[in-house]
Amino acid sequence: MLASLLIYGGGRAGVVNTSFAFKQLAEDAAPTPSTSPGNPNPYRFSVRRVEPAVLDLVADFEKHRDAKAWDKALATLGKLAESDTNGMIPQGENMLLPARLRIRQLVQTLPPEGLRAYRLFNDPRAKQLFEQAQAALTDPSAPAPGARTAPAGGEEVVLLEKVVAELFFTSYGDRAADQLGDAMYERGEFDRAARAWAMILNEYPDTRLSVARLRLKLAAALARAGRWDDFQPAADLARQSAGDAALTLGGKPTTAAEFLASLPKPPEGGRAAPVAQGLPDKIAFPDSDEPAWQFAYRGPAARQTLAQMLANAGNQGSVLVSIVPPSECDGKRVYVHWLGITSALDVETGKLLWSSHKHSILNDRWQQFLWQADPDLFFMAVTPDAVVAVGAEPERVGQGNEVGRLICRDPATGAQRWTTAGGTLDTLCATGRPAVAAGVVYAAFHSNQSTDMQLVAVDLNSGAILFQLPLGTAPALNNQWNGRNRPAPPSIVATPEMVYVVTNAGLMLAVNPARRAIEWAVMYEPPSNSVTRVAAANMGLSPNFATESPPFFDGRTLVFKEVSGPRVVSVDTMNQRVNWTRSVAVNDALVAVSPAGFQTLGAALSSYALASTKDTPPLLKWSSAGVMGAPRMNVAIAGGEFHMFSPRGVFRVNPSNGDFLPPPLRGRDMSSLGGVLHVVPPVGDKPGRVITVSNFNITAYPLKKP
Amino acid sequence: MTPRTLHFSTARVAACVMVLIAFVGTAAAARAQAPQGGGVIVVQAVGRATARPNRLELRATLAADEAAPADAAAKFRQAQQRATEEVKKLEIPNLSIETNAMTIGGANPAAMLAMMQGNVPDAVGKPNFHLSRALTLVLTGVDKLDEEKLVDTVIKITERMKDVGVNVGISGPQNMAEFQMAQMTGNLANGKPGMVFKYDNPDALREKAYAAAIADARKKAAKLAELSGIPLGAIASITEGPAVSSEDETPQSVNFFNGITINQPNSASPNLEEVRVIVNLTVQFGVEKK
Repeated sequence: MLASLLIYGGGRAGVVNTSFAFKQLAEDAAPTPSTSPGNPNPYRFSVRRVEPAVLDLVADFEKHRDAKAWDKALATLGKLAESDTNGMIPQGENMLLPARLRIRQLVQTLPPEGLRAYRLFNDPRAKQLFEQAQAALTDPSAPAPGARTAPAGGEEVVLLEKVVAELFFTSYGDRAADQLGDAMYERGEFDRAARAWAMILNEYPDTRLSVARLRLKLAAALARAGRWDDFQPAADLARQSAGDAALTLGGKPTTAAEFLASLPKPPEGGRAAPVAQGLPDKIAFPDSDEPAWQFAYRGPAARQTLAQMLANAGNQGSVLVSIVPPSECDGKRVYVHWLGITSALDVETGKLLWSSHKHSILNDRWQQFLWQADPDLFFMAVTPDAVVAVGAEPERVGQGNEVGRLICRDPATGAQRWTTAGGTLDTLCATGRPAVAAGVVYAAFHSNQSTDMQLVAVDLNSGAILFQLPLGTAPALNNQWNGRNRPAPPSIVATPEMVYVVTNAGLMLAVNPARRAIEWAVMYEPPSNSVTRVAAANMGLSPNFATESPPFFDGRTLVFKEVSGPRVVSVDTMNQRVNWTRSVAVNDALVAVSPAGFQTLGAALSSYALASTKDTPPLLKWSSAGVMGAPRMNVAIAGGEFHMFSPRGVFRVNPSNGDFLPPPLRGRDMSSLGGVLHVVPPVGDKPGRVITVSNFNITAYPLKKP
Repeated sequence: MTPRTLHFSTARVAACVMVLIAFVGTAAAARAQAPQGGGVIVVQAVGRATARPNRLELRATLAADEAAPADAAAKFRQAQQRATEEVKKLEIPNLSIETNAMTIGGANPAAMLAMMQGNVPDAVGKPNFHLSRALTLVLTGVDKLDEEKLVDTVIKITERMKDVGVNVGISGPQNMAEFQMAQMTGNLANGKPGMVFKYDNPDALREKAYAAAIADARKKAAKLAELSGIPLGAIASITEGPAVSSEDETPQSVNFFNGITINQPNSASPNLEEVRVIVNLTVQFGVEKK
């Protein structure tokens, strides 16, 4: 990954100049209408792309390079630098890269004689910046001319990044990247350190630096970052390169073997499986259908009202009735976001610990939810420190001006810490699945009048807005009942170093929060259903037409299926490429991912196994049809079995062949559509719980002691 | 619940609803068929035979709907295999599964309906590859089960089959297309019957009903002849009329659908009740010369 190593440029007219103006990549992602000529698919999220003239210049450069016309090739690079390169350029079948990164790749394609010409023109400027960085290293107080504010730290880092980003292929690029890697390593940013050293090893073939040392450094960074898949081959190469030679690393004499032995070890059992539903190895389901407790968030009055509405409103009403609210369980409490009401219940007793509103507030608002609001636009993320909810405030639903809020609460008390209501984001609408990483909440926002989407980073503790980054324009979903065009709500996955935005519209964006910029994006087949679930129901399609499922991320591989999307997509975030895509039923939800494959749930629970060859999409291994009815379902993995909550009860499924393992736990929520299942393992004397969240109830059953 | 004693009712003769006595020259039809030199007596008779149903048919459907035809086929095969295995696992004597008509390919009904409603194809997605098959779960010997046991067995079958995704006992419209069809036919509440009780030898039952009807005709004709003081001759002709379905046994057409009269003996019922076969005969007797 080349997160911090992008080339920027700025040229001088009239001379051959291949240094590029430095501009923030945030500008690359400025939104354009979804009718952008570079985005022919109207159902795909649209990011800003470069003008066709830039693509012509790229083609010209390649032509001159192939003809070994260095003057012309370098002149074309100069023209590119003077062009408006604030946009993305397609690369290959499914990648989008910032134009400036693509241009850097063009420089990389120069043969040795072309590279010599390039260095002839660009070494002086690289030398100047590099020497300024060395000066800053010895005198940290020295100002860096032209340096921008660096979120990442010292001035020397800014200067080194500048050399690496703009002038990496000059004679100073490798040394700048090496020093940048050292700086990142010292700061504990091991991924960035690894990227810097990998960049030299992979892209700077004539470096005079010690390859053995670089490989050992890379292995160390990978080990510290916990990237065990990458670590082992890197360590093998380092051992091979260094042999038994004596080295000095970190100021200490050592050998490659000693150094590698001193690094952290991978966990027992190999690399961790991608996160599915991490649950204990052994659990014992109850024999009785009798619940430990049940909480009906749709009380009898609400159910009667809804039944009447269903009779009157037909399909449209069925959507409201079928809502399974987002829920999370931290072992102590189960949290539910029910149409703007965030609540927490005690796992053991079922006691309602806190609730943001009285549930009765909905009693006179059902009609508004039916005709004016979208009951599918409520989301939640839970961390040990916070409950972050996205959605309209119930008291404002029906007033015509409701927007989705981002609201943070204390998980123990429910006390509101902050909200986006009343501040800078007051008129903007939060939407989609938020994410929290390193004390920062990431959420998507748009205005009610447009589908231009931006990523907003908010400090988890204070609610202060850290940055707003325009992402692009989402396609407007056909929203037949209240006239508003709304974007598909995105799903966000965040790490301290990178934020991934699955747009649910055929595009996944990788955003560097430190740079506040889109670093790369991948395209895949977008959902061709441009309708909301309510509109779909009005067309006679199933109310669970648009199943929502979270992305799965193991630190390297991101696997997701977009809402109503035709494919499951696996992205290698380290190498920035699509591993594979697999066609599945559009109504299916992605419910589990493992190194061996993935499972989807829709009309059937289906298991797909990764193929032995890299380019072959996963194969359908087994499929178990059942009665699946809810628009939000999951699979909990515990005791070596899959568990799912269907309208027929809680089922255990053999993961190897899909057989249902009798008997099912029918339970006490059989009139529901099923939904989401949480398993809380026993702790001490406290019995564990199986907690089901349906479209009617939250029900807990006692686990037996295994 | 008190177990009902199983019984197999014998044919019984129903009351005659109409008697026609025709002499030569009074009815063209009778005249044409009258024995030479004599008159005729024409009677209408109803014969009914009833039996306790001994076969239960549970109608079911299996379907797979996928973007990739190969996936649809694989999922369909597995679903069918699991349904068959589940029937075996039930270990219910006399339960079998019959496969019926299969639909291969094409768009799913909901997407087709959406397009029928004027929604552009792009708005409803690409049509999936659709596979579906009608199944019949057949339970024989139900006449030997008491009602309680029968109900328990039916529940066991339907519940287990639903668990493995077999849509058993369709009783209402499943999508907008069926909903609209049900609205058109006025059959909104019930839809298609998903459960049918049958008697597995309707020919024998019909034979009994014929015999009963002939006996009834003879009885009526004899009485009429006696009252008229004329000797009753042999049967000259028999015409089978439309089936009778109502309790008053008035001959009538059973059902109309798209203008076609369906003459359907009542040998099957969606309800657990006696299976009835009712025949309606017009029997013409000759009159012997004194």
